[in-house]
Amino acid sequence: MPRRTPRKLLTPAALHILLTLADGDQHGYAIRAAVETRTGGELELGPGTLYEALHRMVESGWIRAVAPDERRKVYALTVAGRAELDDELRRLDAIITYARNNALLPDGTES
Amino acid sequence: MSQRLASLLLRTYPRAFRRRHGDEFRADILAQRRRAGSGLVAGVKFWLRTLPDLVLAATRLRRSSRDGIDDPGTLHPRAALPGGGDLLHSLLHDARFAARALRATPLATFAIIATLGLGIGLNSAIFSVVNAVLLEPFNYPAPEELVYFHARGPAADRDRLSFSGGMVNQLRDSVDGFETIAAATTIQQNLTGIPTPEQVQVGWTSPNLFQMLGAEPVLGRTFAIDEPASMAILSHRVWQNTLSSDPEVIGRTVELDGVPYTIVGVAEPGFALHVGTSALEIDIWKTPDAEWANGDIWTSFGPQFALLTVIGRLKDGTSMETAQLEVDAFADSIRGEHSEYAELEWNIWLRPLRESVVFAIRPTLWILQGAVGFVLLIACANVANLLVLRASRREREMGLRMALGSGRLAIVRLMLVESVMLALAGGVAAMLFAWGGIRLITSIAAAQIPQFANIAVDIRVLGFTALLALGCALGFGLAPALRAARGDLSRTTRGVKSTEGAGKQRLSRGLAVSQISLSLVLLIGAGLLVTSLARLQQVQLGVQEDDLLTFSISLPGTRYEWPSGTGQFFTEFEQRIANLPGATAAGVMWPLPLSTARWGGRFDGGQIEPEAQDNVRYVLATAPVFDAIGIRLADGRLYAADDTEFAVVISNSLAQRAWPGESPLGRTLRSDPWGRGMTEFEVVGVVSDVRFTGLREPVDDAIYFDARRWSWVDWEVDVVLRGRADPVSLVPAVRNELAALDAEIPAAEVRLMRSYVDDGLASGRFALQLLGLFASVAVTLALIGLYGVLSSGVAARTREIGIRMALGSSRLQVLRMVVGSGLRLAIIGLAFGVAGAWALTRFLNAFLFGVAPTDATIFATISAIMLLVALVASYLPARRATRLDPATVLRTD
Repeated sequence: MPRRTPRKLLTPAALHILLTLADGDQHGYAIRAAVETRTGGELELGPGTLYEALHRMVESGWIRAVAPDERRKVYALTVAGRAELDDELRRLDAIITYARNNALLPDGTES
Repeated sequence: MSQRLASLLLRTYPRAFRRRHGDEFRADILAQRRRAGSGLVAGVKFWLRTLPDLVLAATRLRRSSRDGIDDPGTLHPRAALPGGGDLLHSLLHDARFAARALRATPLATFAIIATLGLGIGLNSAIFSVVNAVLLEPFNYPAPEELVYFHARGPAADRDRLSFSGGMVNQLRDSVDGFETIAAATTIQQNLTGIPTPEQVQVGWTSPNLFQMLGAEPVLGRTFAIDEPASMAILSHRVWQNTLSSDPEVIGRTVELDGVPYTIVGVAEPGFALHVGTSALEIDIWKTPDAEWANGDIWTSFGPQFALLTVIGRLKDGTSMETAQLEVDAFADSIRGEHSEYAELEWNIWLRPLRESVVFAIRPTLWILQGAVGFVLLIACANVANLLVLRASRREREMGLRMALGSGRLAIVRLMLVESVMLALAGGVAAMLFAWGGIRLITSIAAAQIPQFANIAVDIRVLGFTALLALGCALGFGLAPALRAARGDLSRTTRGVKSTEGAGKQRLSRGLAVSQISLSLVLLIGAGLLVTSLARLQQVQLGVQEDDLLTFSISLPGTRYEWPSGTGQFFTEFEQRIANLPGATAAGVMWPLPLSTARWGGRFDGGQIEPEAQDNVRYVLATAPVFDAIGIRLADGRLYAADDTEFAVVISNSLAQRAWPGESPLGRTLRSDPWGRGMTEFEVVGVVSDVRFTGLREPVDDAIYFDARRWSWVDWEVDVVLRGRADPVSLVPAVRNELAALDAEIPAAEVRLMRSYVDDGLASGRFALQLLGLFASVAVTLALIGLYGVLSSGVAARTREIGIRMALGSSRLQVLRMVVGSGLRLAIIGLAFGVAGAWALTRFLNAFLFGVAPTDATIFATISAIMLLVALVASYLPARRATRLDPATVLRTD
C-alpha cells in the first residue's frame, strides 16, 4: 500500500548508498567501491557528492555514524533510511513488473 | 600540491560539515588522487574531473545552511532547473553537463577547438607583428611629431635622402614650425686601441638628436644640446660585447682610427638611426668634430656635400601641412638663389618618421594580415558548420528536454555554456598557436626585419584573441541554440527527418562553398609566389657568385689621403691575398651587387641627352676585380697603369643605350661621381651586365671608376677573393695579410657572395612561407568543412539512399550521387574563388616576378588541384553511403 503522502524519488547516488548500507555497515570509501562495482563503474561518486550525501542523510536521520573503524566513521542504516529505500524499491519494482508484463524489456534482460 | 588544493577546497565547505567530515573527506580526496595515478597529466586529469564535483557540493551545502533549504537535489532530484537566484550553481551544473556532452564526441570537440585555436592563434600572431612593427615601430615619446626630411628631385623613385650641413643650418634659421631639427650621418671607422681592432658603424650626429628623440641612456647620459666635439655614446651592443658591460666606462675614452673620444653614456638596446626605409644599427655615436676629407660636412653648402640625414620634431600644434608649406617656401628660395639646385629641380618632402621606417615592410604585413584574416573567416565558417551540425544531431535530445519540462531559456543557456566552454578551450589553444606563430615568424624574418627581433605576444593582443574566441563561439553557438529552443516538439521527438534538414543543409553548404572559395584565393596567392620564386632563382646575377668570399675594409682618413692615397694599399693587398694558397684572384670593388649600398648619379654622352636626374649606377673597381668576381670584358680593355683617372669602363647595357650600333671605345661621356659637377671621362672598355640593384630588377647601366685612382676614406670598400673550393678557410690567412699591411684595419662583414643572392631570394620567401602556411591551413579546414557537410548529408539521407538502393540503384550510382553533390559544391566554391583571386591577387604584384597576378596557367592548375582534393574529400562519405545495407536502413526509424 502506498502511503498517503508519497515520498519523492531518490537520486541514483542516494539510492545506491542506501542499497550498500542495507547489506551491512560500511565506511565512506567502501561505500564508493561497492557502488562502483554494482553499477559496473557507471556511477562514480566524487568525494564531494559522496560526503555531501552522507552529511545530508545523517541530518535527515536516514543513517547514523556508529563506532569508528580505525580513523573512519562507519555508517549504518536507520529505520527511517530503511523505509526510504523500501519505498523506492517498491516503486521501481512496479515499473519493472509493468514493463515485463507488456513485453517492453529489451532483449537479453532476464530477471 | 594536491594536499594544499584539497585543504583550500575544504575551506569552502560550511563549518558544520567540516567539523563532522573534514579529515576523512580530505583523506578521501587524496586517496582518490593517488588512485588516479602519479604524474602531472594524471593529476591534471583528476582535478579536471573532481573540481566541478567538489565545487558543486560546496555550493549546495552552503546554500542549504544559509537559506535553510533541505535538499537542493542531492538525495531527491529537483523538479525543475533553478531560477535566477541560483545562477552560479546552475551554470556550474550546465558546465558539468556540457563538459560531459563535449567529451562524448571527442573528435568533433577536438576539431572545433583546434580550428578556433588555429584561426584565432595565427590571426593574433600576425596581429602582434603588425602591431609591433606598423602601429608602434618605436617607443619614443610623441612619435607622431617626428618627421623625416626627404630631399628629392623630379623623379619620385630616385630620392636623394641627404642634405649638406650648410643647408641644414639655413633650414634651422628659416623654418619656424619645428622644435628641433637634427642631422646625422653614418661612417665606417675602426675601433682601435683594443687587442683586435673592429670595424664599427659610427653615427656622426648633431648633439640634439638624442634629446629630440627622447632616448634614455642605460648608463651615464646622452649628448647635451651644446655637447662639445670628441664625445661619444656607446651602443648597448658594443658596451656589452666589446667592453664586457664595464660599469666604470663613463669618462674613459675609446679610439676611432687612433683618435680618442670621451664616453659620456651608453644608449638603450635597440636604439637605431632610422635612415630612409631601414633602421641602421649604430655602434658608436660621436659629435661633429674633425673635417671630412673634402671639407667640413657640418658647415659646407651644396649638393656635393649632401651627406646628412635630417629628422625634425614638430612644435606642439604645428600640423604636417603647415610644416610642409614652410619647407616648400624654403626650397623655393634655395632654388632661386642656387642654380645647381634649380637644375636638380630640388625639393623637400616631409614624411612621418614612423612611416619612413615601416615603408618597406608595410605591404608584406598587410598582405599577411589579409591572408590570415581569410584563414580566420574560414575557421569561423568551419566552427559554425561544426556547431550547426552538432546542434542538428542533438535536436532530438533538446526536444526531449523540452518535453520533460525544461524551459526554453534553460536550453539556450545550456547551449551557450557549451559554446563558451568551447570558446575558452579554443582561446587557450589560440594562445599556444599565437605564441608558436610569433616564434616562427620572428625566426623566419628576424634577419630581414630588424624590428622583428623584439616582438613578443603582447598582453593586449592576448585580450584581443580571447575576445575573438568568445565572440566567435557565442555568435555561432547562439544561432543553433535559438533554433533548438524554437524546436517543434512533436516533430523533433519523433525524429522526423524527411525534410527538416533542408534549411540547415543549405546553410552548411553555403559555409562549405565559402570555405572552398576563400582557401582557393589563398592557394592561388601562394602558387603565384612559388612560381615567382622559381623564376627568380633562374635569374642570372651577372657574376659567378660561387666560391667567392667578400669582406669590407675601411681606411682611416687620418692616415690615408683621399682620393688616391688608397691605391697603393689596394694593389699590394690584392696581390698578397690572390697569392694565398687556395686563392685564385682578388680585387676591390664598391658597392657589391645586391648589397644595400647605393651609389649613382647623372650621365650624358652619345645618344643620352643631359638629364637632371640619376640615370646610371656608379661602381668603384680595380682592374683585377672584374676577373675575380666574374664580370667578363666584352670589348676594349680594363684600366692600364698609364691611364689617367678619367679612364672608365662601362656596362654593355649602357654602351647599347648611349652608342647603339657603334663602338663606345675612345668616346667621351660626362658624369658626376664626386659631386663636383659634370666631368668628362673616356671609355676604354665594355663589360658584361650585372644586376646590382636586385634580382627582380633589370640589369643596371653602370660606369666603373678605377678604384686605384678614386676611392674612399672613412667608408667601406669591399674586397672579393675567389677561392678554389672552400673560400671560408682562407679567412685567417686574409686577416694575417691585412694585419701585415696595417694592424689597425679589421676585415668586417666577412660573407660569401652566395649569401647576398640567398638574401635577395629571401625577401620573397618570407611572404611565401607564411602565405603557404596559411594556404595549407585554409585548405585543410575547407576540406574538413566539405567532408563534414557531405558526411552529415549522407547521414541525413540514409533513408533516402536505402530506398534508392532497395529500388535498384547500383552502388556506383549512389557513389556518383554523393560525390556529384560534393563536386557541385566544390565547383561553385572554385568559381567564387577564382573571381575573388582575380580581384585580389593584384595586391601581390609587388612580390611577383616574371608572372602576372592573373596568370591563367596558375589559376587553372591550382583550381584543378583543389578540385582533385575536393573529390577525395567527397569520396570518403560517398563510400560510406554505398556500404549501407538497405534492409537495415529501412528497418530503423
